[in-house]
Amino acid sequence: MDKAVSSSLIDKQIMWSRLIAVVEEQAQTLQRTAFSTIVRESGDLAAGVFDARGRMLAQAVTGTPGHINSMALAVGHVIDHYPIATMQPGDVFIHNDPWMGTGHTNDISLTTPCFRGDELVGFLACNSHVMDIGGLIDRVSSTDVFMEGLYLPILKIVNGGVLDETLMAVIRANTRQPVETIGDVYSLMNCNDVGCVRLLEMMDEFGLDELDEVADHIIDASRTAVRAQIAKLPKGTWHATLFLDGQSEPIELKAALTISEDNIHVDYSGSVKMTRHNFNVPYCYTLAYTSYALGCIIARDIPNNAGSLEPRTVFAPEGCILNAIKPAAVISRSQVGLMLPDLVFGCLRQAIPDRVPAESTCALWGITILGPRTSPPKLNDRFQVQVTTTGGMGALPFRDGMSATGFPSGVRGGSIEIFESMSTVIVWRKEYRQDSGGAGRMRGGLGQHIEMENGINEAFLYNTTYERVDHPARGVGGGGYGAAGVISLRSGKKLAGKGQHLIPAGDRVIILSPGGGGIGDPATRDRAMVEADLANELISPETARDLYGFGLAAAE
Amino acid sequence: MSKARLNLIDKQIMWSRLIAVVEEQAQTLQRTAFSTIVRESGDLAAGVFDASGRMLAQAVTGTPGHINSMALAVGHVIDHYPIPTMQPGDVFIHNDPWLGTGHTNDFSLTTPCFRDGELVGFLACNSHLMDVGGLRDMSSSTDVFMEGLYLPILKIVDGGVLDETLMAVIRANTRQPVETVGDVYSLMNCNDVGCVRLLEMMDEFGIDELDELADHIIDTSRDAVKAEIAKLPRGTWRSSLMIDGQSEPIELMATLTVSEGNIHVDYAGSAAMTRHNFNVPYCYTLAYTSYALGCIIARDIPNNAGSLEPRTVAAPEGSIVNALKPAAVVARHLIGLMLPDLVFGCLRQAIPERVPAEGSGVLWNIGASGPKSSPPRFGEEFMVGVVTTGGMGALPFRDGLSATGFPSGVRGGPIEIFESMSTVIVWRKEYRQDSGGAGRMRGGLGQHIEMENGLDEPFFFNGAFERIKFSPRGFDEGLNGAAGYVGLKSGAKLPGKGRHLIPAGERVLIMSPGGGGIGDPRHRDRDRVEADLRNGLISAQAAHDVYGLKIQPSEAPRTKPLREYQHG
Repeated sequence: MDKAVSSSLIDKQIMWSRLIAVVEEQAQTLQRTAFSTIVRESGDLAAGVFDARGRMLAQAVTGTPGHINSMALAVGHVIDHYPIATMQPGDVFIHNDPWMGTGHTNDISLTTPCFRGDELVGFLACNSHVMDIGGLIDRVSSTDVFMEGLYLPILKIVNGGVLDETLMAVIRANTRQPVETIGDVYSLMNCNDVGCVRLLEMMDEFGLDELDEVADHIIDASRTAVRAQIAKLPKGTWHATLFLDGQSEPIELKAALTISEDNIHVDYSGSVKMTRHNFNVPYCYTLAYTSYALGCIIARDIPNNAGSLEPRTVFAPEGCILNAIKPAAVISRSQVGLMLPDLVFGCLRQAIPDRVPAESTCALWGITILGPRTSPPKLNDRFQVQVTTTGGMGALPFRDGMSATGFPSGVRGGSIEIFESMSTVIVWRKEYRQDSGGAGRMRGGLGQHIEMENGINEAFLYNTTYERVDHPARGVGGGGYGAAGVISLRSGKKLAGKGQHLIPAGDRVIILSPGGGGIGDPATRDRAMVEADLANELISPETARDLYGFGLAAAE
Repeated sequence: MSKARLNLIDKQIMWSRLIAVVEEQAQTLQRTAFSTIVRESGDLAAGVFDASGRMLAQAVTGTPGHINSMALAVGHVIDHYPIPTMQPGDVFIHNDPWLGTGHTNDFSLTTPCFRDGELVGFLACNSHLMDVGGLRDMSSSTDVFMEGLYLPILKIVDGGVLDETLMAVIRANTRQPVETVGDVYSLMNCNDVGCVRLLEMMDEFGIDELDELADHIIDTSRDAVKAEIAKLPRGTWRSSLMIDGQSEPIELMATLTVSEGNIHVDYAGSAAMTRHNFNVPYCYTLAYTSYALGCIIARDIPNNAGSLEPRTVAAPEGSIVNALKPAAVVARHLIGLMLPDLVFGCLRQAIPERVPAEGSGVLWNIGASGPKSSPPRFGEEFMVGVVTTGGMGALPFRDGLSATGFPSGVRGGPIEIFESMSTVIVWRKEYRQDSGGAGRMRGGLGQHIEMENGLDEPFFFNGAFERIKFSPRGFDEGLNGAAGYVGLKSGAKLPGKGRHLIPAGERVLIMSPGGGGIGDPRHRDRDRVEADLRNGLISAQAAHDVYGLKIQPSEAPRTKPLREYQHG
């Protein structure tokens, strides 16, 4: 095939933007056709387009770093197992291997080679979180990955357009929600199909037979842009430590961040070893959230792809909790993984303090419940739903922290109406949690105050998998800590941050999610901002007076 | 092609030959299996079926839970994959508890056997794989999805071509991929060998199809069982049985009716499904009920579709003996293996002279896992199990067998194998003195076992035991067998069901139950009492106090302290 005339720079930029539109439509397809509530309501997914060598060229903005940055590696794994020469049009690969995917078996990854005629021009890949893949129901007691549900190594699920019915039958048989799970597998397949169709249309429109030239442009330009940003940073090595609540004992994580001329390297040596609990983190997930944290600060405007990710490297010793080895229990890896940005920021803040936020809630405070649909209960007639809920982000040196915002997960808080419509639980309260934002010149973001109770006269199960109960988000430079998270029953009992709790009929759960840390001395906060916070009831009069010195005679 | 009709002698010879075929089939399975419970203890089934899926013969090697449920399994396969869709080189696999043997650890394989392009019959087999993923302890699953990989009826070999994807899924969902895949191959080979031998037999006897032989086997067996039933008194008898359970005891009820040509057992009134994991799918209930009846009334009649037909079972849907999907069922044997005692409770009222007293019932299988080294290295763990047994109930005419797996038929595993595959040392394994229920006929003895880690590390001990609260009952003034006991040598008692971390240096004490006795111990033949005393099976105190043997303390051989015993 003749090589096309080399495209101009403007053409390449236009094609790049178009590629980003392709993947955005790909992601929307996934989100709109998904059955899983956390996908359709909260965007817990990733979708991207890759070149013929498996390098990620573009990924959808919709999605979450844990999925996206690990997906960047996944296509490479697929090619390792199924060499490109063996692929044909109509092939689709599936896996949920935590060590080759996104870190736990709930996330199903699909990879589809895209052909133009007989030539492979690229790959579409996507993944999403299915609500149930068998295994244990509570999220706290698995002690190895075999208890966490069906494990799919990289397999071909569609072979030249023919669906592997046996594999589908196995998937269907190993989930409590066969309709939804199978539906989600189809939604993932469709996501990639749509991406491939749009990609080919784009190539038609621009008269391309292959993506190599635009791929090299995207990757080189992105790599160069990130390196340029790194070049502006001070050089050196900085250390930080972060303590997590853990489950039976706190977890100590350590990081050493080194900035060199064209690379940032984070080394997690010294962090604790793997745990017998189920929040061990496969390396792909550690890499995902570390890259993301760095990207937020230094590469904000540079699109995410193989090139822009290259200058950010990560090391964690094998057997460390951040590089857990098979068959460790990993289903709740997000409980540790989502905290990594705060640790990375702990290092980076020492290099570029004016650009880095205080600590945030980080961990998701999603609400997962399970219960009978009727009173009295009928056998096998239960609901199992989840709604993503969040806490406050840390303040930035130049701005208050965002309240009730899922950082770094990027997953959207779910709507309570959906949650209620799919369960028997009534949510009596869901509002900002007054005084939870760490005080400061820049205030930390607020957490939430949520109360829920069963609408039928039955007990229900409530799973907690939370952080920042024992170790609240720290403030910086005189800024106050964010409020610690608290979970309790109206009848008085406090609930552990990690566990499966039976909520008696007639009792009410009170969930107070954490706040983000503040930055700077609260006494120096702009008085108008304090007044506004007070007027909006984000702070109480006592806090305004005692922490912010508001309304006192001016302390000269 | 029509052949001259077979004469009766030919058919009997062929029948015996079929039984040899399935025995070789089962031996193949046992010899090539990786699973310790299969190769050391025979936890398997193998059988040959006619072209309609009716079981014609099954291997003696095996266990009723597997065998009698296998009798139904081929029918299920045919329902899902109609015969006209089958071709030579097809092999079907499943571990669906409701279409197999009752829990996902048991993989069932079904292979159609072809002669010159015509389907002549099926070979089927199943065996217990040590690990299919899911929870590790056998006590805490609350639904079947926590119990491991679930395979509906699937084609694993399609016209001779292995489904690599399915094998990859099986390999990925077990902690023992080498052993599990090895076991799948052993099951396939088992059927292959059976098919080859079956075809050889057909060649030898010059038959193109099995239909005539099949009809003979099935009709003859059915008639023979009906003839035995005809000798029994007609009527209806009820009984109940208490099971230890886990958080609360469980009551089972049975109503047994003998009528013209049929025995029917109805479990209505039994407890509802439990939130624990010993719910019983119907196939397993049917298996052990048929078996119990067969033991007493059809002992010499080979097991097949015909001989099973006159034995019918009903259990209300949602009862613990007819549990519905997706109930937790991995430990269904905890109820299923107790069913014969319940059936005997009814049958004893009709034909007391033929029915044994209660026995251990449930196997006292010991599971252990732990690090292979000290200090431990991640991912390097051993995981072993060994079948351990208790005593059987006495018969009205004979003592109960000691340390014998009834009704499971599974053989107690050798301790040497258990030790060689773990770091655990078994310091003691012997008959448990005085555990056999006293009687004119004595109940069989349980075992006294002690084990400890050879490494200076804790290890996990798994057990799921019965007959700790409710000891096996004796009858007719015979005493109960000893209740079982599990604890630490240092004194702590352990619950009968659970996975326990045994600290380094601690020794686990396992005392399996004894069987119930029959008849007044004081009427026991004196020679037998003396023999039991000499052999250490009973203590001097029991010989004197319970059996009324006149002995001087100085005459008594050295014995251990008197153990507890209970009246029937």
